[in-house]
Amino acid sequence: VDLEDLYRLLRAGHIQAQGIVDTLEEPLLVLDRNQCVVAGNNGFFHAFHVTKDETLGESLFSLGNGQWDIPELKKLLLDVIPKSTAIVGYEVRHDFPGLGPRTMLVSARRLVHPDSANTNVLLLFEDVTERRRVDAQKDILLAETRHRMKNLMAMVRALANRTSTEGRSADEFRDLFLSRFQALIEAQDLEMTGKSSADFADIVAQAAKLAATKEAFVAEGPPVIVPARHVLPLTLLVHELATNALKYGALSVPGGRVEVRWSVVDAGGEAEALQIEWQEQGGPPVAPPTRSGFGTELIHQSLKYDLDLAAETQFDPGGFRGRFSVPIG
Amino acid sequence: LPSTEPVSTVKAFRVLVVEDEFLVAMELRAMLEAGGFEVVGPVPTVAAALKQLESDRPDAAVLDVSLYGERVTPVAVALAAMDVPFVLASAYVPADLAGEPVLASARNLGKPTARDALIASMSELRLSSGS
Repeated sequence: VDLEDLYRLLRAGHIQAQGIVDTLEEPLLVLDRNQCVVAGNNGFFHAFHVTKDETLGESLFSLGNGQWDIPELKKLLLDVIPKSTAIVGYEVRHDFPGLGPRTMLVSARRLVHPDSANTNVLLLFEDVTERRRVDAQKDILLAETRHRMKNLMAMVRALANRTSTEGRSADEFRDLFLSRFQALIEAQDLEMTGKSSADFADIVAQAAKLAATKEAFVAEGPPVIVPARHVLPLTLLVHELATNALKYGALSVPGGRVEVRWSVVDAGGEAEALQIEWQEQGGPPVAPPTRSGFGTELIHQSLKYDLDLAAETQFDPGGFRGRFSVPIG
Repeated sequence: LPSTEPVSTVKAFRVLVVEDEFLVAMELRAMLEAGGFEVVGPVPTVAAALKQLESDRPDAAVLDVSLYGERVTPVAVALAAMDVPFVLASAYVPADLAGEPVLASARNLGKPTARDALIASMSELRLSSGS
């Protein structure tokens, strides 16, 4: 090769390198040994709102009113780079005037000129602020999901533990537990529709499925928005009532009927209460339960505690009758 | 292990239960009662727990951490001030509680709460209280 060829080769290489640098969207700078800017790409000028003219020839640490005069970056360039060839992904958090707080990954590589002792430094900046924010949100979401999952498992275990084995065969216990478990699943489905509330009619509709025919289960009431935290307790309440009707009450015989009616009433001041009437007819004569089971505890203790539910239950010979009132805000 | 059988000659050891999820509260109460402890509450909110503490000093307490989105911290602070020992029954991991020393330093039985761990920790508290 003669000198002409070598010159063309170098020139072509230079143009190619320039093309690569200009194509990179990541901000990039080349500094000389005194940390003055020798070259920069459009990515840098765009990202930091500066022009080429005000950047080239300036010291990095005086650029943009000294926004790069960051102690840890200075230490990196003055102390670390001279001793090592490259640094990859060094994290710098800084409040940039005009840009706000940013997390940057700075990579630096020492460029040694083969013919002279001149040492340039190539600096690459990657703005990972948004990525870090998304990561942090994901972490919160994961922690929340883990928390919800454990709570759900605690509820399932509580259902199993609070479903009594007394006087029941293993099959009966399993069926009863699974029907309560099913109510829990349905309540979760209602809660998980992404809405912050559910309609009470949807809750009643879940329980109505236990009835053999549509005629056997009458549900009437206006649309009522039920707050999310009321969904599970009210689902279980209606489920227990329907299960009892199916086992001992009106739904246990053909021709028996359950009528559920509800309304929203004034509960003083701004407060409102959901009033539910549960009336059974056409079933066998009913009597109060002889022992206090899950349903009794749920209605007369737990829901009073959880929802401030007022409950009145009557085991009339003509059919079970329940009146419930729950404040809904 | 200390006996978990209720003994009539021994003064009842009263445990306040603070838990917002009624199913879990039902279960905690049943487990504690079966273990020979008397349950105070359960109460589902910070406000209800603080109100309960105004008129009554329990011997110990079991606390859920998140009560309808509210942290149980004020209840823990009140219990500590009354010198009432308490444990947590929470699904949170230590990192979630690191910001609140009064919670971070408490024992967390976890959730779901194992019956044996619950009874054992309450029995220990009963023993150290000397009742």
